[in-house]
Amino acid sequence: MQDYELKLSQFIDNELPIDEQQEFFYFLSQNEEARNTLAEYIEMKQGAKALYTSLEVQLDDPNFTNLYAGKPEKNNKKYKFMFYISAAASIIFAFLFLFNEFSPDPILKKYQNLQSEMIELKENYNAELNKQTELSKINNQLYEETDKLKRAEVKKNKSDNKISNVLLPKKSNQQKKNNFDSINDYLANVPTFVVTKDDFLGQQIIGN
Amino acid sequence: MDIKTLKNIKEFLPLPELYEKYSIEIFKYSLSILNNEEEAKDAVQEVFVKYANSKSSFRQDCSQKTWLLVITRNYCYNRLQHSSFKNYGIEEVRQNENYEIDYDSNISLKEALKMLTPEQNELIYLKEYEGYSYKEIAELTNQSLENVKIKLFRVRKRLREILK
Repeated sequence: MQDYELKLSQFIDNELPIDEQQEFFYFLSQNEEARNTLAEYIEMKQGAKALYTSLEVQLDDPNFTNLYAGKPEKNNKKYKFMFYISAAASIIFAFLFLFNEFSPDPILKKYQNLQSEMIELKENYNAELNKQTELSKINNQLYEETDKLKRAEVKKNKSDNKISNVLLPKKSNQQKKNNFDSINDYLANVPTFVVTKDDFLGQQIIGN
Repeated sequence: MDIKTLKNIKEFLPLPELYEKYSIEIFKYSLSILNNEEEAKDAVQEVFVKYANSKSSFRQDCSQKTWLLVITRNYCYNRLQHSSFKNYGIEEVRQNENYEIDYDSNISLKEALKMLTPEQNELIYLKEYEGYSYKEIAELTNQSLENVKIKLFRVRKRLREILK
């Protein structure tokens, strides 16, 4: 077995494949040198293990352990003291603020007053705007009511076979004149009749 | 790095307890690579500070110990690259009185270990002291399993030659 030292190394590490073990044991039983080498390897293995096991060292570093253990450090006293002072100061300021014991800057006060005035004006403006909206709503309602009434009247007139003046579109004087002129022109070409304005406007002629 | 096989412990310890539990092992692992007690002590501090800072990136797909070992390894090799010191030895480290192996042979083993490279020392530490399997070592050191097997064999062979 040429590479028996490699197999020895695997064997002492318990990494020699099972199918190779039998052959290896047979080789060991036949070879005294291999057995001696195995003994040396085992001794080295145990020696190295014992060497590392026997190492002793003092590693305790309080700064490091305290840092991550969250234990209070000496320096924390200073921070604690500062914390209490800031807490007391904040309480005093809160009292001063609540009882208005401190006088604010006049510019700041003016600014605050202006701000409150502006808010008031805004509110008034909004109220006016609301009123206007309400009025326009009422106007719309009135218009709708009037329209309904007009429509009802027209309906009534139609049912009485009357042409309501309400429905007749109002014509301008020029339009009326044009109408008369055109009708007069037409009538002028009719030889048998002499028609006046009054006759033309009458119910009877329109009917004929 | 895939270190799924290294998840031995699923418990999640707070940092002070983690420090108490693993600081010595981190020290020993650092010592195996740096071969200098003071540097190894510094490494322990640095590793735990780095751990605390990188806790958010810890995905918990491995144990805290493995995560610490990875940080330690990165730190130590980085330190070796950027420092002038090399192989000061580990004589300063105190020995346990209960140590059973012969004193003389013990010294010679220490001397022999001093002659190894940081990588070889690291392999010896991970295999002999931590008892990791080849696969675990391969994943931790980012090497192939075959590589670990061969390297461990070579380290032992070299140690044997030195000790002869």
